[in-house]
Amino acid sequence: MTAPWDPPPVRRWPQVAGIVVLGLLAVIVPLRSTSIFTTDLTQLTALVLAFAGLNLLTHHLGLLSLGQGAFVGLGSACALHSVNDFGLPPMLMPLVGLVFGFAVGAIIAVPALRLPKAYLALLTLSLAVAFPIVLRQIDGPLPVTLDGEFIAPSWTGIAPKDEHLWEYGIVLAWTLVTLFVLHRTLAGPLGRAFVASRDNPQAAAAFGIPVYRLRLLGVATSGALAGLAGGLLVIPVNFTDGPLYQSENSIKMFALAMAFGGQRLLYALPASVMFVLLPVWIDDRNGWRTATGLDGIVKSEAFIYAVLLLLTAYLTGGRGFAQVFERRRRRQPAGGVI
Amino acid sequence: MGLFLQRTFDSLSNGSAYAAIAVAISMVFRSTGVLNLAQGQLAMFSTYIAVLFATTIGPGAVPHLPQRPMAFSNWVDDFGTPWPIWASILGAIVVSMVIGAAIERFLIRPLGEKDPVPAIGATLGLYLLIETFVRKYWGGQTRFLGSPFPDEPSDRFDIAGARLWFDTIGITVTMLAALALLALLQRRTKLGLAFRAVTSNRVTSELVGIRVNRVIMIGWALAAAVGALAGALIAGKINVRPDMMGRMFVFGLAAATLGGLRSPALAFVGGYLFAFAETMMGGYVGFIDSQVTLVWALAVLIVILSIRPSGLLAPTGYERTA
Repeated sequence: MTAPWDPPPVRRWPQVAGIVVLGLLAVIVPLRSTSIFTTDLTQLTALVLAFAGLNLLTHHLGLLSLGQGAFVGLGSACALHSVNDFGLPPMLMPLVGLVFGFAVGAIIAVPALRLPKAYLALLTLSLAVAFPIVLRQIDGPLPVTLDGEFIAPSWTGIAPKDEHLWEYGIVLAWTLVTLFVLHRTLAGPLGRAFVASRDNPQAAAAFGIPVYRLRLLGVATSGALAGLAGGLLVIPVNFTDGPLYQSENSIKMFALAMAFGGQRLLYALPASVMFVLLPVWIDDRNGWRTATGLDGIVKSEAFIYAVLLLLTAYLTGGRGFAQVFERRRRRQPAGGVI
Repeated sequence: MGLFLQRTFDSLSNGSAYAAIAVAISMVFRSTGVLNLAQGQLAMFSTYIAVLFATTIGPGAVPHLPQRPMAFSNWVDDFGTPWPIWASILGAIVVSMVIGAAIERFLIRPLGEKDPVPAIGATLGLYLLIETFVRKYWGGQTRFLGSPFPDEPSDRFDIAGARLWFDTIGITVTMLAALALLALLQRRTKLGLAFRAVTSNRVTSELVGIRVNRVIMIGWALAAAVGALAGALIAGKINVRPDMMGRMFVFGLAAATLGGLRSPALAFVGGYLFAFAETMMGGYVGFIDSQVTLVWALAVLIVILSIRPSGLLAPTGYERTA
């Protein structure tokens, strides 16, 4: 018999059911969709990692990054050049994105973390603005195409014309493995140390947690996840180009991480879905892109993101809707506390 | 020598704009701890307001402007626009001050001051809203405001083989005068004293009867005014378009960082230093074109923050976040 002040037992079945449904959807939807939608789905799957990195930063460590889009672009560019210029097998190129994302994240974090939170936002925003310019300077004004392809082995039974399914499979496998490793890591002492350093840095430091180094690791890991996502994005997109990684993307990613993010890795999914599919949805609405005046404002992507940011700031104090939902769920029943 | 001098002169106008944005960012950050990421967009919006005042409605009324699909420009026309350019800039500054104060009162203050995250989110939301409004409501086309100073090809001094244009002198002197006035306001008036007290210790200021919220609101209004002046003055050189302040904002942020984000005076110096470095690097280093100087600003920023975390020009001694 449980005491009245004990928290209610954790019910696992909704989580298990949710994961099973998601797993089924992840398999069935691409098989039933057009190649264009599957390519969108592949991008969405890759970007889940970038949003997981942003969630780690925002919701586990309480830090702000306005340059996640630049890290994704960095990962894409480095991965693509590792194949084109150094002959790396295309299957391994996402690892290059991961390594470069980690390195640049650490370089940015070293000075920024010694100062108040705003500095990390400032430096990452500057990176977001500067990255497309650097890429154009390195690659020139035209897109650079990947010198490699992803042909499904015969044992898969995937026909050459369905290569988008094989690409989706590769990206899904990379994403699932990475999310599993990340989940296990965050469920352990490192994850608890992250949260402790966010909630009370002084107390965490007093308990021997190296807060500065931990945050450094967090920013670098977030960069690595975005870099990996960038490397994976090259698989369906097949090229890199400066305009793909404009600073607006980083702002949108930040808005989504703020609104939908939370400590669970699963919260990266709705953010990624909205990031990839909202522009598609707006394109499908007749006349939305070209609308002007007040009508044009309301029907624009930027307006939707602005409203999302403002609602998140005012209704949830910047913590995100998922965390508010979680807190409500954890609230003990009336009279349960002695 | 002549070329070096020419480049130094060329950096003055941009330096004035960077310095103004940097001062505005520092003023807001110092008083509220909020990094106003919409500062550049606010300046851009104010410049569009100046265009509204300086032009009139109707096809062909002003040949380089399309017929304005701007609803509240009808209201503006009731004030007898088009106004002379100086009056338009002053009008835009007054409107910006009202907008700046309103943002503080209705957008930032309700979020509290404990956590900067929601405030940064709100300023980013504002950034997107302003950008969308200008692009969708006003069409987003490039507009022309003109310079309030003489800017004919012959309006210049020739000094040691370098040309110093009258409008460069005008922009620099006007910005210096405006920022000197701001410094005077802070040093010599009761309002300035209250502002300094609030930035130094908010709780104590409240205890001695300073109306803290009102002082902070005025701080936001003044920051918006400085940004508006910078946007309107530089518009004569770069034209008015939705992305006109993007580059200025990044350089302004970098310049503000030189002063540790908390010193408007050092941010001001930082603005001119960055503009000088930008022009010289673009001019003397072959592989750096005007776009890539932005990247060097970022690199310099990282190096400075690594060596002197509280800002290159700020006094030594800083606090780690943990």
